Amino acid sequence: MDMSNDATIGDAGHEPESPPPEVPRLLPPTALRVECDPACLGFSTTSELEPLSGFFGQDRAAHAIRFGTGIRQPGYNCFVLGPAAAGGQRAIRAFLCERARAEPAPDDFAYVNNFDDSRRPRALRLPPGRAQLLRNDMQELVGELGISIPSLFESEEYKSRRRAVDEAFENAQEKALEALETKAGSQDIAILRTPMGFAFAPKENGQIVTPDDYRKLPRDRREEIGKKIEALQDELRSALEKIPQMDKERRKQIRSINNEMARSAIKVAIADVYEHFKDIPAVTSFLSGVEHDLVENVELFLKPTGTQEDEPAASTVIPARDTRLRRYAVNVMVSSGDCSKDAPRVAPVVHEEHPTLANLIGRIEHVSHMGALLTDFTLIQPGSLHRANGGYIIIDALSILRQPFAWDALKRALRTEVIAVESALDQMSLTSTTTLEPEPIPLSIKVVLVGDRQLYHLLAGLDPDFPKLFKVQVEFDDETVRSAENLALFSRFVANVIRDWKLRPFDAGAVAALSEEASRIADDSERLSLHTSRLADLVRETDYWAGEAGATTSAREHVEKAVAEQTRRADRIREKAHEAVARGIVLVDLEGEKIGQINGLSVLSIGDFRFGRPTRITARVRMGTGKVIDIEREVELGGPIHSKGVLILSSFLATRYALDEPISMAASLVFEQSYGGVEGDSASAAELFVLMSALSGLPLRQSLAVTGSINQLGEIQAIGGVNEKIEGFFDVCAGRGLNGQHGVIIPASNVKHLMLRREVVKAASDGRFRIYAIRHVDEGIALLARRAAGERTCEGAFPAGSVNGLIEEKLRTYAQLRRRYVTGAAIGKTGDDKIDA
Amino acid sequence: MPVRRVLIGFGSAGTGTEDLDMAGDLALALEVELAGLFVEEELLYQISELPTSSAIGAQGQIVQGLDKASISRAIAGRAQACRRALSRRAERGHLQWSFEIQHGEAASIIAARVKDDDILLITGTTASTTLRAKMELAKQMRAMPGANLIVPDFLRRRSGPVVVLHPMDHDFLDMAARVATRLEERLVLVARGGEGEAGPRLPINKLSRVTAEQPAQIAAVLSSLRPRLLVVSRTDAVLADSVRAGELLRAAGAPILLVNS
Repeated sequence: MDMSNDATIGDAGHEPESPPPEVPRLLPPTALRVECDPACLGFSTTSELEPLSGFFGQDRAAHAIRFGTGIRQPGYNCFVLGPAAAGGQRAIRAFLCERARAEPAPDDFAYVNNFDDSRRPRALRLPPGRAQLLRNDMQELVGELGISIPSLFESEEYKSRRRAVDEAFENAQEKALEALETKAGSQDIAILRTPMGFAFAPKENGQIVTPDDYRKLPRDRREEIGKKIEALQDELRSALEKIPQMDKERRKQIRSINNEMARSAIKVAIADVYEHFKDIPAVTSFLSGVEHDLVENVELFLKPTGTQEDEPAASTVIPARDTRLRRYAVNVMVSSGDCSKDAPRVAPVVHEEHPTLANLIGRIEHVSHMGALLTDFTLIQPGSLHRANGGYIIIDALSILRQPFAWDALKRALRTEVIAVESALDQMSLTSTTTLEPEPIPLSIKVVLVGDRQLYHLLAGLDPDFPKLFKVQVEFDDETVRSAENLALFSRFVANVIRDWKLRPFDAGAVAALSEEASRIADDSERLSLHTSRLADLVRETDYWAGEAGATTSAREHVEKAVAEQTRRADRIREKAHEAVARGIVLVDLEGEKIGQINGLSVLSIGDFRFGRPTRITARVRMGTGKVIDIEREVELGGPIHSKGVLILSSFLATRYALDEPISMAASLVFEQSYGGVEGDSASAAELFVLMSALSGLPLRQSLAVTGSINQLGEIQAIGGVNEKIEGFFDVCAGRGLNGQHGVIIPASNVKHLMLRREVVKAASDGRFRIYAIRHVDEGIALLARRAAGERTCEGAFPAGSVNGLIEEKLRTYAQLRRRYVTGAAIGKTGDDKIDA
Repeated sequence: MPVRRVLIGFGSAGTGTEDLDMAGDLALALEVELAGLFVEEELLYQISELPTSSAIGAQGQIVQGLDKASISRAIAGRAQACRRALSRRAERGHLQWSFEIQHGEAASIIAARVKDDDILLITGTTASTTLRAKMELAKQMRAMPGANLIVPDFLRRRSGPVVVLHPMDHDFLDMAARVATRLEERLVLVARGGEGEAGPRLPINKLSRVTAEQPAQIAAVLSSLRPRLLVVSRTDAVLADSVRAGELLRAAGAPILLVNS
């Protein structure tokens, strides 16, 4: 034994003894469930209550959201977190809507054609409500021009000017051909039109010379004809070459006439639009572009003729149906309505349920035309960021993270403070079709992300942009103090749900029962759960059962019915587990006493539903080297916290008994018939008791079940799920028949968490079921072994025959045996000296 | 003056789409058959055998190799194109149609095929080039017994009144009225001073009258009216002289329907 070991033993030996054990406290029925007195609530039914505005029991969150929405600096977006946040979304939305009502409506935005580069549509910013007016004005303008321009081209003035140009061209063309024909005729040459062009042929006496006659002509005559034809061909070619140029000039003149005629009509028509928007320079600049473009493209208002482009057909087009006239449309991306109406205009609050990239930042749609995908600025669709611009948007954090590119797009928009419509396919270069690059729209928005705590901390840890962009943490509490003030707020919350869903009113008894259930959900009789969505579900279900019962007001029994039905719907597994115990398939003793065997309690969770059940824990000991084998751990069914509990109890044993001897036992602990994982340290007290039983040789009462964790000082610590555990054991015992000996030992620090079912409380009142609260391991072992644990006397020894005394005696025996064994082995003795532990 | 069909004579040089449309409109207005007669002009085969044969294309380029075989191929292709164009136009208006190909001299072939109850339209794409040459052709055709004749113009209007020059005969006024009604145009009667109030027997909403005596006056009236179609009796004195007829045609700037009256 080295010095360090001595020092350790010595230190442990000088540790102050644990606090003196107290007598286990048999809990009175009043400690098992805190009931709410309906009379204290101060109302008969919820119809009398004022609606609850704001947040119920979420002062921290309310303060944070007020700060987050109030501060107008970039990056101060909010992340709402906590399990209760999902239920709190309604309150957040209500808060944001209330706030938005006091804020001005944001500016309108619209996309219009960029007449200089149609691939880059212009974004127009207009005062609230004016975008729709501009769109309407432009529709009217185009409609008016659709009538006035064709009429203009039907007018006599236009026709005569046009005819003059046409005739001048025709005359010039005709004259050129006639002159050539006359000249050719004077030289006895005919000009003929053939499928391949103009041909020349010699004539004699007005008739074309036949090939035979031609061959009979003298050589010099034929040569002369050839030269004449050659010269005439040159002249004709020269004349024909001028025709396209002449025609071009004709078109130019006609275009000039068209433009001149159209300009006046357009100027008159567009004047009203200018007048309406003279205070917005961006719009007047756009209108100037429209005016210029209208003049240049006046033929768009004339029905396609299939002839030359400069020849307008004087037929009315229908602008609304003519895709060519979409260039003058106004694509309103976001508008606060028609400003000519009296509807109130406030800042927007948008809840994006499906935050895909396209839903968030908008998209550019395409239409199929002759097999090609085409688009223009009218096919730009707004996203929720557009709709929420100037206000607030609520997004589920997990949803946006699940959508490809959406999270990055949101961060980019917040960082750059603009919304740039872009396609995911373009980002991946997967499409090569024609698309647009719309001018980005300035963004001023508060984003409220809603997610759980783990997600928040993951983002904060892994995404460097996140802390810069979401600086406001809005954390929702899971529970609040069950004070009179909070009960009043709770009642108003229930009234809100009833009002929102148009349910029957709750009487005070029903609200009281609901508050008890809220405490039960919180697992704490001194707290109220703030999982408002779960509570709202219960309110709605209570209303249903009240309806089924034909009641006009929901009462306590309807709440209890709703709770019972919730349990019934979910308790198939619980039923099977308890049935397995009842049928003796899972071995659990509920009577008598056994050495090295105890009933532990565990909780199983299936979704929101949790239930407890007893599990037999056994321990075996023998002489060894001081190791406690946790069989669950050995087979990797035990989790780290469970292993920690086992190590703590090993340490407790090692530092409490026979401190002057090496610990010389070998023990094994197991959860019998447990084939799934075991996690948590809530069975560590039971494991210690069963080990003490095995060491002391004292049997333990099987009518009691134990839950609680221990520390190295032997103190019993609080555990979770105490209600479910007690009820689980109660159900199993009740199945076999309660005999007044059945009960559960729980940590004293869990007493405040007790919100047991009424039938459990009733059984306790009747003395058929007992619940003990203990603070120290000695209280528990005394209760279980029906023998005093024993305290060290002033001589340093435990009283003989006490539990602790027996344990220490057994450990000393093991130490002596071990010494003998080790000594024997050292001098080479063989197996005949081996000792049976 | 019953009309049985509108006969369009295609020359070898082109399909004459514009003229075909006009013939189609007329056939539709009168609810008669649209017939096509394509003449493979002998003249073109003749010139292909001349050693001077080469052509100047519409854009001024020189087209070599104007031999008989290539001319023949080009004419056959053109005939098919004319047939397709005529059938399309007829089917569009649910008209009965026929198409015939003949070989020879255009005027004589057409003269041989045309009947008294036909309206004949000679397209602007025959081998004759200029307006004057076309008027010469018209003169020849006018000499033919019995047929109504359309002399097309280069420019075809899509709107404008149907103008009847010197209305005398009720039958031909009725025909003009039917055409005007079908085309949804007004009917304008240009009469001499002493011709009285002759008019169509068929009811027509848009009817007006203008008086003009001298050829110059008539030309001025026609120029201002900007007709879509001019209807004239083929025996009218104003057409007796081809020069005067040419001036009239130019002034009207529209196809002329010469009718027997």
